[in-house]
Amino acid sequence: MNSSKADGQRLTKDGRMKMDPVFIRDGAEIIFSAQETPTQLSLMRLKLADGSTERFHPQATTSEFEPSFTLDGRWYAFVQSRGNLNLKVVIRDTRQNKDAVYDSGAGFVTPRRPSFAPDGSRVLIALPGGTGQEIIAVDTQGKNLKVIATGALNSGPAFSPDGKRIAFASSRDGGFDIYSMNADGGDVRRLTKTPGLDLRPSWSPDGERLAFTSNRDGNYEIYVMNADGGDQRRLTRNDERDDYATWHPDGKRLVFMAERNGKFDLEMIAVG
Amino acid sequence: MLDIGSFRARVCQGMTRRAFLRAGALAPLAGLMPSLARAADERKRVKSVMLVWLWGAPSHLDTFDPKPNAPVEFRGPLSSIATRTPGVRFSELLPRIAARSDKFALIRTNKNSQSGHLEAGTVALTGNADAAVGVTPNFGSVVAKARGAQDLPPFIAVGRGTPRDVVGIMKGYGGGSWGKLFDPFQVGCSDDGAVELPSLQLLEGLTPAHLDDRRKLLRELDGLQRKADQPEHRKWDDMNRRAYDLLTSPEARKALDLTREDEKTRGAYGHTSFGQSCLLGRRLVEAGVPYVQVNWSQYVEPMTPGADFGWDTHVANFDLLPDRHGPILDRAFSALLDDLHRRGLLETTLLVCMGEFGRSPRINAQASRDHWPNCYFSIWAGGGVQPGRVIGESDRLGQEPATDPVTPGMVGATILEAAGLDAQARAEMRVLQQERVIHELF
Repeated sequence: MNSSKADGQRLTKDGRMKMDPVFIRDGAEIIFSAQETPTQLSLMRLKLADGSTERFHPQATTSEFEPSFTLDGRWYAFVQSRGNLNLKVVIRDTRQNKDAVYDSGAGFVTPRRPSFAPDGSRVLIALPGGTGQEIIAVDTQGKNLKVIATGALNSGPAFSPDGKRIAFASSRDGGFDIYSMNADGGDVRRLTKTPGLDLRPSWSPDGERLAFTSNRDGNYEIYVMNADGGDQRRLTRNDERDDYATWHPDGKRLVFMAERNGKFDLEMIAVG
Repeated sequence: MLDIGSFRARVCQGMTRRAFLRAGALAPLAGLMPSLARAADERKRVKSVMLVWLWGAPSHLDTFDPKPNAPVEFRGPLSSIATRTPGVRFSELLPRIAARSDKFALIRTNKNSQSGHLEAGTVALTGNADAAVGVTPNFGSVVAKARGAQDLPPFIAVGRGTPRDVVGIMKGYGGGSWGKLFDPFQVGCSDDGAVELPSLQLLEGLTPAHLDDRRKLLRELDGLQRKADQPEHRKWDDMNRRAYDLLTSPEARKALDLTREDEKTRGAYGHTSFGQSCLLGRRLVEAGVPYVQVNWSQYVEPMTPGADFGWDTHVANFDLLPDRHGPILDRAFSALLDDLHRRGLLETTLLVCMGEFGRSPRINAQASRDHWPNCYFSIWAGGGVQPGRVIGESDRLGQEPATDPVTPGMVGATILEAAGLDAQARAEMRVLQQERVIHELF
């Protein structure tokens, strides 16, 4: 496996499969999902100061993944497995030390990819529904459900930093592309139109750009584009997989999962 | 019963010593089917069969039989890509395998009679449904019985235990009505390449760590031999004894040691449980194991703790496949093809890859796909298979074979024929007697 570009700064070294990195504490730490054992995905905390990694929920005994935090860190949400084909979204209030749960029913319904509004008012969730896979919004108690996007398969919603727009992936025009819409679901705009998968949009801290994953050039690579879909550029160039990009709070760097010689670690690269 | 014997073993440190605990349980295998072993056409038969078993049933439309011109509720959101075979397209999730389509043949008209995992799995791996007369043995058990005792177990299953769902185990995993003697020897393999022998977990005081210290291991075995008459040791079943046999075989330890592979090779397969399991399977084939079944493990199933649902994507099909199943399979299976080809092992090995059925062409209410036994795929390479071809065609929606269906019985007859068990031998063994070989593959 050859890399046609200098690798970024490797942040982890264990090589186990990793997903969903997000920065917290003004960029001092990264929370991500990792395949900790063959049967368990766990949320992990990486401290950038010393490179140490530890379990975010030390007592967890079941799979937890896809974390999302509010800007102030008071709230976060994640997916928790509670049995066979039984996923729930846990919404945790760190100030009150209380959990709420979004429960879409028992079995064969799988809420995925929660995304907190920056102000902590709502959580977006991708949820299979009557029209395909919808994007819904619930409050911090997991209640007051509102459907935001319907039709086709919609996934990976992400609030813009000001909370006014939502980027997401959708198959409404055929394959998966990146779209954005108002926070209420209106004014849907298609941002990518290339063959292949475009997935996992991530807003830059200033709301001006989006990073995302695309296989348009043959395998999974990280791309960036302007928030209106302009100036789409490929950031990574490796024969192996680059995926799950997230922005550093300084807006100048990205962290993503880099597969290198078959191992999976987090890397950080500068964004020009 | 334990058969206690002795032999001279050369240990790693250059010492020789007499010791040991002989796994007598395998001895009957050597004499069970001598006429059949001879009946096999030595010139034609492959040394090994390797079955990559995609338990849970992958969607054929989202992998090897995409329908880009079907309505969106059938074709789904995944695009198709060109392969190395002119006019043949695969899912965009499998670019590496698509680039190697000249190394294998693809059947797109497999058809199973059962729609539940346990029943369909049994049919797919034995050629017959579970019947009142008992479960027909797995194809691997048949090959093991015909080949007889080996230095290594003749039928090894690599994965995380016996394929199962929440209801129970899939009965066709092993010897069936022939008994546990013909069950596969189970070997686990983790994403970092650590090999586990589940049988050892039953032996108090003996852990895989002992494998690193042969002298200590032999001392332990001496001690265990002295205690062999104690009641707890009489409880050892055949699997325990085979585990011991394996432990004391330098060839076996060598085959099971993935650290003997260079990092580049290990990385090529991917550091996933399935990837390293495929590499281990290649090593076992190279070591001469007649039948190796690599099971898709529950590694990719964080949503279904406690059960091995593999590719059973009733929900989140279009999340799981792009995130996990597709990239893991694409990397591991393409590396396996390359590795077998580079080492010349495709000349002596038949490689088959399939699940128990396909998935519903029409996307379900959960934006995913359900069970679909009427039409699915299988991949065949090596062992005289003519590569670079697609055999059979499904209809425009992938719902039914448009050409003659290929049944599990035909799959089994073809595997056994390649392994040297011709129609006469199969008749003598009373397995798959009426099934036809898929001659179109060769």
